[in-house]
Amino acid sequence: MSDCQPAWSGDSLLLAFESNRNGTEDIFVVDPKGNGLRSVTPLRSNEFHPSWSTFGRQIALISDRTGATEIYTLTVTPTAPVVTSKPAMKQLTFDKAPKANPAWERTMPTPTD
Amino acid sequence: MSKVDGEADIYAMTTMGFAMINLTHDKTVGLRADSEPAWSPDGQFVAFQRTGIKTPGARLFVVRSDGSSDPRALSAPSATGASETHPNWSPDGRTIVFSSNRTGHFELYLVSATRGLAKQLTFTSSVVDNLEPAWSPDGQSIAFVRHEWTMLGGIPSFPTESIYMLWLKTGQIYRITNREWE
Repeated sequence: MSDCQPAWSGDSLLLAFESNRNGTEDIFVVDPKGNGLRSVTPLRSNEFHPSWSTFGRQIALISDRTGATEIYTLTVTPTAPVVTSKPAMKQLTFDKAPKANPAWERTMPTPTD
Repeated sequence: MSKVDGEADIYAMTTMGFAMINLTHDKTVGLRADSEPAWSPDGQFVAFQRTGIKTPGARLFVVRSDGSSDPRALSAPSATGASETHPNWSPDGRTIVFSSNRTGHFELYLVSATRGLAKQLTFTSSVVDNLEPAWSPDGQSIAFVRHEWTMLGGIPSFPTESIYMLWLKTGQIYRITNREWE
C-alpha cells in the first residue's frame, strides 16, 4: 500500500493525500492525528497530487479520467468533504500533455473559496 | 509541471485554466526536467527540483513566480550525485524543508530560502526513506511520507508508504496512516 503526496489544508486541520488502498489512486483526507480517514474521489480513474486552496474549500489535483493527465479542482466542504460516487470536479486543462504536481498559490483566494 | 512543449517545465496558471506562464523554460532542451513546484507563502517565488537527464541526482532551485528572473540554485551540485527533492516552504517563507539521499537514503533537511548549509532533521535507518515533506500552515508540524521495507532474510521486501507527522516543538514523530487498526 502506498500513501503519499501529503498536502495541508490552509487551517492545518486536514491533510489530503494520494493512496492506492482502494485499487486505484484516489485522494483521501485525514486529520493530523490520523482520525476521520475518507476518500473524496471514489472513482475508477486515478487521481493524484492534491493541493488545497487557500481556505480549504477546493483541492487541485491531477486525474486521468479522460485518458490524459489533466488538472482539475474539486470542491469540498470545510469540515466534512462530501463523499459521493461522482465528485464534482472542474477540468482546468485540456491539451492532453503530461502533467503533474499542481501547487495552489497560498495567497490566491478564489471566487468560491 | 507540464510537458506541453515537450520539455518538463514549471508553469503558473490561473484557476480559470488560462494565462499559463512558463517559469523555467531555457535553452537546455532535452537536458533536464523540472518538477515538484512549491509556492512561497507570499506568492512571490516558486521552489522546484531540477533533474538532469545526463547527470545523476537532482537539485533545488527558486524562481520568481512572474517568470522575471532565471532560476537560482539553493545549493551547489552534489559531488556524489545525491538527489535533493520535494521542496516545501515554512509558513514565514524563511526556510525550505526537503528530502535528500546524501547519506545514502532519504532524510528530511532544512535550508534557508536564500541559500546556505542544510541542517538534517530526521535520522532513521537505512531501510527507511523519508520523502515529500509538507510544512503545516500553522508552522507546528511537518507531514511526510515514510517508505519502509520489511527485512526478510536480509532482503528488503514488502515496501509500504505511510503518512507520518513530525512535531517540530518536541521532535516527536508518529504515523497517521496505515495504522494497525485501519
